[in-house]
Amino acid sequence: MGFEKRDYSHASVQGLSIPVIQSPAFQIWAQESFTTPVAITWEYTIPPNDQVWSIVNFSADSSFIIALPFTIELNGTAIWSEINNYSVRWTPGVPSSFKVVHPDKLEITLLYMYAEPHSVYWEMDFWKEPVH
Amino acid sequence: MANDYPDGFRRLLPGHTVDLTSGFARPWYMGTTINIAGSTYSTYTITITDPDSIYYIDVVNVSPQAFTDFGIRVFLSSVAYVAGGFAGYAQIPMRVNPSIFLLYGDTIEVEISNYDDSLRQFLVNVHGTKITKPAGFGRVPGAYFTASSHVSDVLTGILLTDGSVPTPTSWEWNFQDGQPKQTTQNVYALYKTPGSYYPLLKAFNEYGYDTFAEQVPIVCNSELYPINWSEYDPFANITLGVNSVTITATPSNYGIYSYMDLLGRESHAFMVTFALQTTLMQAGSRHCFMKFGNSLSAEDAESIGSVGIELVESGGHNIVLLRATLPGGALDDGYDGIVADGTPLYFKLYHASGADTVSLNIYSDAAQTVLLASLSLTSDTFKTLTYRYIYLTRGSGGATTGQITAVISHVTYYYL
Repeated sequence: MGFEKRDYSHASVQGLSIPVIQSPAFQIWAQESFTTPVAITWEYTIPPNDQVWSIVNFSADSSFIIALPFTIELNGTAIWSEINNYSVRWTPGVPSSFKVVHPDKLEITLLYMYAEPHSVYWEMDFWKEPVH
Repeated sequence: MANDYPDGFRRLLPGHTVDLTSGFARPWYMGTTINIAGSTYSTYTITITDPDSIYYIDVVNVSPQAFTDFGIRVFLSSVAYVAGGFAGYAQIPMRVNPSIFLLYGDTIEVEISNYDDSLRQFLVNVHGTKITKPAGFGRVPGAYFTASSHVSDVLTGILLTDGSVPTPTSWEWNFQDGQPKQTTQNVYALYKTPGSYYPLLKAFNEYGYDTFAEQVPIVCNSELYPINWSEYDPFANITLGVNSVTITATPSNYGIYSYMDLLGRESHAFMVTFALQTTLMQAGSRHCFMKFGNSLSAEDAESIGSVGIELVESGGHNIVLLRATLPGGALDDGYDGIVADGTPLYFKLYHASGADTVSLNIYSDAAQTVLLASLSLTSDTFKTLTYRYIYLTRGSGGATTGQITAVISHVTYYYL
């Protein structure tokens, strides 16, 4: 089955053309295995590729249900932090996202709190717009 | 909300436009039930087989038959975009990234990990909206490349290998140092001036383009290591080391040299510094060091001109000559106050772009604070002189065989 979840009528009659999306999806990610409690930080510097990047999604999981305290910093300032056993996810989307450009630096910190071995995976994806 | 279009995102981007037809938005849904053994995972894959639509994904729902813990990763064409751990059910909103849509041949894979020890049954649903694919709409390449190294020396190429997906139809490489852009798929980044550079790849196909730069720059060091230089040395008079070059004898002709080709490009200006240690030249002999020329022909047969440093013996000591061989004749400016006992001298040879003067400073210390002499040559020819080869060392025309020991090192080259 299917059903309309949005009212598109206001848009479908607005015009006969739309600009083509130019920027393919882009993501950064990491996977790390842990055996002892440790804090680890991944750094990513936005490269100078003539685009403005929007942070639209961050999610993470592990090889078992464990608490995953993540903090994301932008240029040294925390912009998001959460500890959750389930569904670690931050989805600001485009309208309310942080816009970043080179040389902005993202630091993603995980506090791994367990003495048991597990692997943790996270990914962050961006919506990239040309500078204009 | 005038710009809020059926894929759910505002449309403010520049670029070419495509025509849409009214009433094009339709919901789509696919789902299945899968059984997953304890502590294993399984994947539900949807492959888009409709060539006429653009598929947007609204939500992925996963419900186990009974309350349990499980993990999910959602892959779009084999790239994971969402991950999470869940208990009881999962509802994953997917429409947060305007870049994410599916076309003919693309796949969405929902990978479910059963964290329980026993077999579990999961219901998987994927909901979304599809629109009629306008003519001229397709997937733009995701620009990407890898660099063979992130540290180089001037005039030493680094291979940049295109990894864009899908394969572009054309490429534009901007090396960000002012040199002409290149349009082949894989290129060598070759820098003439020390610094940090972020090469930029613009990957095109018929639908548009994407740009990519690495987050780590290519750092180009200033020092030219002789090991990278080419050598024509039939009598083994020249030994190229890692950080220096040693000349054990001046040959009787100029057909012997070590050189660096500017790799197909021409230089109009430069600054070079280096250290030189010599013993006394034999009477009547002469030798060139750090000479800039336009061809590999004989020194006095340069069709455009050359300029460099020569050492000659005179009255029991060496003389440094800043010497140019030009179409209108040769120019010299000399300094005879040097010792020839192996004490190193430090040189800085300089020619600004378009200038009519070439200058040489000679220092007694590596820090270039104690100036021994300043030499210069002036000619209108220098205004348009171009250089393609740097001779680290070469014999000089008309020389007689003579024994010296010369060591040239710490070569730092700046392309101006």
